[in-house]
Amino acid sequence: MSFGQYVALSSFVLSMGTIAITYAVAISQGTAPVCNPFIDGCTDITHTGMKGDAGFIFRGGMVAACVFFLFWWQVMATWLKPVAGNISRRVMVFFGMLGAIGLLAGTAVLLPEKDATHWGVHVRGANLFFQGMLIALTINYVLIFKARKQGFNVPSFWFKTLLIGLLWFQFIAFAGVTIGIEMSHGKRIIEWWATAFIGCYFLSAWWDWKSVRLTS
Amino acid sequence: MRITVPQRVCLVASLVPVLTFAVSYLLSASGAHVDWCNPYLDGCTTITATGIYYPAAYVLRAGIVSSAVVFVLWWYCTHIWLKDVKDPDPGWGIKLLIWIASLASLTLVASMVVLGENMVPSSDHRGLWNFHSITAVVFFVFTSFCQIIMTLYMWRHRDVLSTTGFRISAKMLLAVIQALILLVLIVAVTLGKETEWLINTSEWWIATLCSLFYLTSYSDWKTFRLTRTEQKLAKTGDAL
Repeated sequence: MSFGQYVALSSFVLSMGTIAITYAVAISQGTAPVCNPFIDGCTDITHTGMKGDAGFIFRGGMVAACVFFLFWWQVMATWLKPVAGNISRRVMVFFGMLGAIGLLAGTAVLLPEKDATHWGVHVRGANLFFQGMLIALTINYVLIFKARKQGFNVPSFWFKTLLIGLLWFQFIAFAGVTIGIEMSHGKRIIEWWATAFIGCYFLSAWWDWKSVRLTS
Repeated sequence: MRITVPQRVCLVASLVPVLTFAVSYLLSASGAHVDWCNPYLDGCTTITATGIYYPAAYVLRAGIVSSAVVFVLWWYCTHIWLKDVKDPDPGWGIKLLIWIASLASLTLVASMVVLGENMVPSSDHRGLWNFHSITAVVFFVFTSFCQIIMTLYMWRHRDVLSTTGFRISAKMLLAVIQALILLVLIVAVTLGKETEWLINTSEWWIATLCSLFYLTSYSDWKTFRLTRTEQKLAKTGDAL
């Protein structure tokens, strides 16, 4: 497994694994309702990771995942270097890293007590993540789309097309993912799906980065 | 000259934790939660104590958990680098060492996530304090131990690895100081002579030395690329 594949796999496993384990622990400790949040939207991701042991797992796992997201964007910029311009790559990396840092900060300030939590930082951080990632992934997709026309090998292209299509469908149809302290059922469902799509997009690079060369 | 990804890992693994310690200490001291002093000399507080009260706890949590992940990446890079420059492979002993060091870094994540005002008062949260103390000690002892063994390994193979001169002497210096501090601590604890000053200053010094150790590979990895092994395999037709 190359370094790029290691980063892609870790980004997916750590983020999605943390959310899954957090929710399972929260259910077992009675701090989150039992449902299928992708369909019912009975809880949002943040509230599964606040109280009890689930809070510890969520904070540790998501902050760790954010570090892998940062490296994911570094690897992505390097991979696209031969086929994309410097400015477009830099803008892509800027928004991608900004989103990851936003989530890192937003997760680090979560506390078990709802009243004591710095919601301003959390809400801004989580929104920065979703909006920043949407911009960065869109730039990424456009760069990949153009590169592929030049003969650049992108094994996961159709999977990426599906994911970016779904993310944009959510954005247009439901006014995107906007995180708040109290969210409607619909917003919660969108948050769960958008997170899963972003996680899958990170994973999709695993097929592309068999031989990614990290010279910068 | 461009900085390679492995070199960036070195920089982040060494600078982020040291800066985090400094910022969380300053925030805690300015909030009157810990005393103003030079913790490396006076030992007036522990690193843990700087991460209990907010907002310093947020900084320590985010900074050190992030650093711990980068430590794992540093050990990953070391593994690939040794495979790359050393022929034959470094052997199962070194692979095991890298696994232990990586797992030790993960115990630091576990140790950090429980910190916060949720641990106050300490008498009501003995379980969390014990969990934090045990995981922190496991991290410090195993990381120092792995860094010392890795330094000895690099010193023994310094010609093959091109880690001669300042490259190896910097590692040796950090490893020797860590070994001395650990030795003094173990002897003091065994004899029941440990003092608060000794434990506190040791914690600050070991944490800083462990972090600085990661920086010593910066010059070793000037020409190291993380995919050279794949390129080697590609040439022989075994991959790609």
